[in-house]
Amino acid sequence: MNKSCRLMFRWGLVLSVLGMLTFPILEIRGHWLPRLVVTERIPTLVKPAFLWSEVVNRDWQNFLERCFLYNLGSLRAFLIFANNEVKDRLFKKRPTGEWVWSPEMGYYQINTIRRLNADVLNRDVLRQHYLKAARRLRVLQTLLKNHGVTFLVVTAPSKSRIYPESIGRYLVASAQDIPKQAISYGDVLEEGGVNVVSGVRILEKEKKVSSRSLFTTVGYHWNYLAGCMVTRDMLRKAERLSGRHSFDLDCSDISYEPFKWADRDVAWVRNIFSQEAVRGRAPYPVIVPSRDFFSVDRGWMIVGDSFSDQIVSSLTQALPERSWRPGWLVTIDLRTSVLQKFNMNGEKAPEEKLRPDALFGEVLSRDLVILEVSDEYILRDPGKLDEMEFGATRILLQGLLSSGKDGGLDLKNTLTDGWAISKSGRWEASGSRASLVIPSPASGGSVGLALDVESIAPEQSGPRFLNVSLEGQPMASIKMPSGRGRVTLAVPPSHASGDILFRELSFASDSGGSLATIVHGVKVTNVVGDRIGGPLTEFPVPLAKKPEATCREIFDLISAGFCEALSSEGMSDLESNSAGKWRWTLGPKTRIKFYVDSGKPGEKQPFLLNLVFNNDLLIPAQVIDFRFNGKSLRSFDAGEIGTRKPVALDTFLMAEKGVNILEIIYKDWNHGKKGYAERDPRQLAVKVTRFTLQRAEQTANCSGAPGEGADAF
Amino acid sequence: MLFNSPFFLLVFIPAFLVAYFAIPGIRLRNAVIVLFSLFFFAWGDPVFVWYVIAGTWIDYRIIKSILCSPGRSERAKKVWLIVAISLNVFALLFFKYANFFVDQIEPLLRFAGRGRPSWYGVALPLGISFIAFHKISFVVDLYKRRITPPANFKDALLYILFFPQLIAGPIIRYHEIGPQIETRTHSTEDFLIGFFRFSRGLGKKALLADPAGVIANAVFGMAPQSLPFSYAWIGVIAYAVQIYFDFSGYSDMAIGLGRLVGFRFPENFNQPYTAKSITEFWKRWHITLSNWMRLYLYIPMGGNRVEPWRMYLNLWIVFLLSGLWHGAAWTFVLWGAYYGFFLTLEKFCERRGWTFSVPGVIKNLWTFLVVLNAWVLFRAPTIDYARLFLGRMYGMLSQSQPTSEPFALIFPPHDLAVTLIGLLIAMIPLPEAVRRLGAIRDSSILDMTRWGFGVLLFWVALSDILASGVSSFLYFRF
Repeated sequence: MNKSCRLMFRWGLVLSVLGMLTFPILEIRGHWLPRLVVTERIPTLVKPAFLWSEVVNRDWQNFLERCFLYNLGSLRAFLIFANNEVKDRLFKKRPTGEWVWSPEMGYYQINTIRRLNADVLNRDVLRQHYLKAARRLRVLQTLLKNHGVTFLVVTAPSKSRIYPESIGRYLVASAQDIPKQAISYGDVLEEGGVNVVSGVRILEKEKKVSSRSLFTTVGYHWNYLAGCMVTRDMLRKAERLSGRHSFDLDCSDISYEPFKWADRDVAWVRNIFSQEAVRGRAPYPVIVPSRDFFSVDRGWMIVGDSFSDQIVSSLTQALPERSWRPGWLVTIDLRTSVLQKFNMNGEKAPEEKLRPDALFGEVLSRDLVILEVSDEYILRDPGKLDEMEFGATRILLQGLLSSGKDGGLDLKNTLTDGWAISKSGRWEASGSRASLVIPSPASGGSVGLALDVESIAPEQSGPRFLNVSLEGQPMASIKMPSGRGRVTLAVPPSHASGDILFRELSFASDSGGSLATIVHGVKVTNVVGDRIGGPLTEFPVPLAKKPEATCREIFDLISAGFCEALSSEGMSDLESNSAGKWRWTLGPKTRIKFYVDSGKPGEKQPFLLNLVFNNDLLIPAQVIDFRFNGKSLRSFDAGEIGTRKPVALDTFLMAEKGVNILEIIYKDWNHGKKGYAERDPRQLAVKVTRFTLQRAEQTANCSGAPGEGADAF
Repeated sequence: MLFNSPFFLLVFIPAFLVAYFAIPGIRLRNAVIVLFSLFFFAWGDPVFVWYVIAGTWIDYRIIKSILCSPGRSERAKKVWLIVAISLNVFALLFFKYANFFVDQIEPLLRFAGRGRPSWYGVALPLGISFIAFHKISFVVDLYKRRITPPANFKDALLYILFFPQLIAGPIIRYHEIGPQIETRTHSTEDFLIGFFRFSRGLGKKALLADPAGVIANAVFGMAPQSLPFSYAWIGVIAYAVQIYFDFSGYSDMAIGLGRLVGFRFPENFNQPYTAKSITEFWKRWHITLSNWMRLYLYIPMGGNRVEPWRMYLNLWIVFLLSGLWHGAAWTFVLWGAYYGFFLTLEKFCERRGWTFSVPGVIKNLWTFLVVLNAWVLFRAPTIDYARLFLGRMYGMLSQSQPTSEPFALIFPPHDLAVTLIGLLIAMIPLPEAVRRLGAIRDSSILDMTRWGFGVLLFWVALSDILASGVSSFLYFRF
């Protein structure tokens, strides 16, 4: 190569380097690379204010750097995927610092292994820590019970805990010793008197008797089969606690399908090209709605994280079809402050933002509150008791224990063990022991306590005394008034092992007999020696929040958005063009369910159905039957339907309070037949261009009487 | 802005190179460098950019009006030199050591019923240690008339603020770079060499230092009482690999960036872990710091021309100060004293003519062992931690707590493999044939090879940075 050629060659190399360096910026504008997206949690990028201080604090710099990073788009995604793919192939068993992989059980999260090791090594220390958490939960459970709310803790174990044999080299104990040596949060809670459904115990038991996998191989969640089993046990436990049968859940019919939904979490976040290749099959229970009718009263709530998805899936599938009512089940994710409702088909309604302080009101509006605690939120650090279970226990306890303006406490929020509501509606302690909790002041000092009590013991010759203990330690002896009167005492700070949120006082008769006491009011002051005066009024009970009614007057499947109280099966998604919007109904049957929440049970209410469809596929000899709540409503034969002409059905439906079902049954639909849009894989029947259901009174006011041909049913 | 951040690699560098080469003439190109350097500094530290500009202005005025003024007496010049040095040293002491000083005297303050002074919590300006050394070199070199003064303030700013060496060196003495500011040549070959060097540094940082750092951080994050013997050794070896490739990677990137625009910076590393004595180690490790210390501290203190005891003391003082320069903590002071001890010992033996006829490999391993112990002091958060860690390394302290991290859990195979590869690269001397490659000029095959490796390393390193996240350079905190 001569000198000038060499120079030109070098210039070529230099220009290629400059081109390479400038390419990413140009690509942001040009988008030449194929679209590839990284699965990641992108933090919200908030544009800083145009202020000098935002530059000095480097807010602007960080903002611009992050903006640039996320705008790199496909180039960034390609580089990340390529890097991860290479590491995944070279170091399959430990591709990153976050995951390990085993041929038998797939991916395990490293943190879950570390936590399991901690459960073995720090067994005794953790036990003391968990007992403190158990005490809090027990108090919360009792106070909620006073409000008629059944409280249940469901623990979701990690894959490492149930299948340690595949990761023996990462553990501090042998896999077969893990069940014995590792402390279980659920067991400690149960020992502390908390209502627990222990995922560890259920899954360990199931593992012994079945070869079916209970966790996914490409995720760290238990699979939907395990979720179903845990939910089944949860339902039975809730029934035992509330004394009320709910509905049956059968997990025995299983279908093996490729991983879907939350089951694929690790495969997604690994961000490798071959993520589809690692996708295997998992057991999915085929759950059918229970046949029992279950009357939903105040509804259920699950406070938890992504493990709740499987519980929700089982519950929403098994709920008897006619039992659904708006808001019957909500989930709350305190990490994201999101409240989630579900429609009749178990589909998620749009998320609602929830302030942590609003959680308290939501909880008291329910029959059953389930606190689902995944292994990640069982915090092993004793200093983080307040963050345990997503902080839910702390938030709820603080809400319940907060005193009124004058220090008066709602008796439901203070009385714990040994109290019962008498026939006269008073809180009475008839056993030999009873307890109450009072909030601890932030300062941690002594508090004054006044009790408005009434002795109902048979007349005695001398005065009667009660022994008071604080956190199990003797504190004082108080003299009971004969009849109704006031008792005051100073409550010193708890000892170091006590809880910072509350102090628990126990009362016992000095004679060892029945307490025979009615409590009318409880009041606290922060400073000992303050004169506790004024009436001991009961703290106003927070009103149970009634689920809000939405879209109950007009149901529209074509023009309106999401409606929680309306659902359809056998219908396509909404399609549109410049001429309008429509949905395809799908053979052999379309089912439309809507919920009516007003009126008395059994009373029928008129709704006007306005439906327009046409035989756009030109299916010859099409016949369509309409059925409402199991009874025939109207039938259209081929002559009436014709081809591509709008066919209208205007009729009154006499709807009942609760769930109503409109069924549309077709004689024929698209099976890929010639002339039937054969390339469309869907089972298309007819095209619906209008579907509204309006409460009849409204129709009369707004639109006049139903048109000609409207039939009353 | 970190050298390994996507924003620097894909926005700042391309913009700088396009602007630089689009403008003709060395003076305008110098202006481009100054503007981009100011932007670079202000991006990372928008407040102290003013301090650096003002500080450089004061140095520049002292140089122009006094130190290089023929009308001024030598005495006046000396006084002003002391003033200029004192200003820079005071700034370094204040910004870097004020908090440390207050922490040390806090018991006394409490005893006197006083709290911490209101100015406590002084923020550390970006690259203050390196900037201070550059500025001292600037005034001393011109006082000593080693070189002619800069033509204007812009050139002075260029020396102090030139972004490749601004934050973590190499420490370039003014007389080494002054002529290049005024006159330098650009060639496509230099560009390719510079790009290859830059990519090599990026690769060292992202592909070797960061994975080794994962292991080092995991081990040094454990309580020494629960540290198995093997973990302690693997941890400190991983740290040795991490710090070498991190710092030499940064130096490579700086040297490469300079070369792209025609500057030739002095080398900062020369396979230090192949050294056969501590004296040799310090001739191969952070070479520019050693040179600076020798020229501006050790020689003015008398160097080798004084009494032996004084020479040993000077050597020790230099390394104590070197330790303190690295960070305001007692662990760094001890680290400096430790090296001072071994250097003094070697000097002592050398002067006495005591030589040890042992194979070179043994000398090399012994030196590496001494260096590893020093890295424990350097990395440990406290002296007590270092003591316990060394105790576990040498079996002088029993493992009193069981470890919660089995071997397979704490050491990911990828990071372990990289640490091993890094160790081999660092400890096996480069064959002479490979060394000579650098001297070959005008070879298309070499150009192509540099280009190929440069491009490959750049994208592989970038993909690793994007996949694993950007990590800071260790020497940024010094």
